[in-house]
Amino acid sequence: MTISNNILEAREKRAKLINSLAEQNKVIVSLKANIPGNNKSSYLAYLIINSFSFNQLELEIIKKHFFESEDGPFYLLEINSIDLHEIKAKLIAFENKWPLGRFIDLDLHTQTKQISRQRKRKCFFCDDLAINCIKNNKHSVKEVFDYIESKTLDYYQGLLFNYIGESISLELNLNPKFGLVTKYSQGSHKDMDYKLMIEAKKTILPYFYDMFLAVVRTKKNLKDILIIVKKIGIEAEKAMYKTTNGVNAYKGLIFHLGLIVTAYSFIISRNEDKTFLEVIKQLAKDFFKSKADLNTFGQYAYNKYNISGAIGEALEGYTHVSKALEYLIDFSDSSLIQTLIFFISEIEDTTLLKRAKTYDYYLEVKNKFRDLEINKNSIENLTQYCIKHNLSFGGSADLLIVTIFIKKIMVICDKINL
Amino acid sequence: MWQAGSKESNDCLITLKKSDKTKIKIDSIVGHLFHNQILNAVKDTLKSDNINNVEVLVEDKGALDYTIRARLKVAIKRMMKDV
Repeated sequence: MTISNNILEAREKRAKLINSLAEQNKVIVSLKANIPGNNKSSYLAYLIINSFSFNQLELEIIKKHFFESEDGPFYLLEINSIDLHEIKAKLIAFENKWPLGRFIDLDLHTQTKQISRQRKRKCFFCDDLAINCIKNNKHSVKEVFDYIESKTLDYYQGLLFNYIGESISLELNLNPKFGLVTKYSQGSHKDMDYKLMIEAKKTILPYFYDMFLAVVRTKKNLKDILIIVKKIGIEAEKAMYKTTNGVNAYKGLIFHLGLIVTAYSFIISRNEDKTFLEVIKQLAKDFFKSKADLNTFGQYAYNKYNISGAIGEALEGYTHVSKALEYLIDFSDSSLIQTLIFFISEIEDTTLLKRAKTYDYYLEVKNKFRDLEINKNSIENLTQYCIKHNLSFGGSADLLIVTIFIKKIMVICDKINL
Repeated sequence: MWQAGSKESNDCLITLKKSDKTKIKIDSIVGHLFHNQILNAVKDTLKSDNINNVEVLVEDKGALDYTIRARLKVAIKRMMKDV
């Protein structure tokens, strides 16, 4: 076993860089992934250092610097602080509590010294101190790498499964809801009910992790990545139709979350100059080009009224979702309903257009929502009205789910910005 | 004085000084467990590079054997360049 000289040189360089910052009386926290072997810049390193938001460290960060090196990607954070021991305690606490904390090195450096942990870390595999196992070469590099990989992928699988599942449930459990399916009512949907939606949800959930996996491990460009994830999206759609016996429960949602999960997976797994929003727009543009000849209602709406529906939202970079985040203060029923009303009033919902039959009536319905004085009675009355006139708002419901998901993921990822 | 390495975790900082005889000082966070292993790595490397009459200071933050050897070799190279 040897260590590449490039890695050693990169470490020396980083130490010099940290020293030069510390000499200006700055308190520096360095963050890097702890990956064995000579490839320190694998997708795993990025997935690990991008698995949390710096806000979660609860430090006052003045400036952050990102670097790529032969020793892997790393951040240097300039911290405002007086109590160094308090910072170190916070860093250790975070490493201990964060699911991937064991694979993260958060070190504190000051002008005088680097402040080390008092108690040494334990090995992943045995009860021994990690340093003993490493020094005595007890476990092979491959064994350790595979362990870190499986833990990291498990973490993201759980994250996507839970966050998307919870987002869908929050929307589905909201009641009353203007002709959309709820626990207590089929709303305006003769072919759907609560149970069917839950089955559809369960069916589509695993496909988002498949997309994640396809994106994080590839070096392909966005155009080629889109082709791969689109295939997975189509599989998800097919599986959904099989579960629901041909009812479209979440097709629009598969599209939105497919794009968003792809963009998220892309930017957290490599050194990428493009922002989340730029990646979304690029994917949407390529998707739109490839879809232009399809015979769907969305296509008809676009040709006839220039209403671009779900794809339009994505092409614009989800500006309505960005605005909706202001309404979605928390996940309470009142925030959720206000956010839904915002979408119904503001977006071009092709589900509504389809059901409203005429464009004039479509606009009239949207105005009812725009002018709505929100209270329990008015929501209940408008729900009755929507069911009576067979109106529904699938496009808006999808975007509500998207907004919930984005809000959740923003808490653990600084790179998500709309 | 010649140096190589860093005081980051899993690394070590080697400092070489000219001396009338060979002296090795080890200051390691895992010295209680690995003092002899580190000492042997240093002695080995000095011997294979045919180096005498230096003072070696190893400030170790849990570096692996091969890292310690590689750091020492670089420090020796830097010294030879100047001498």
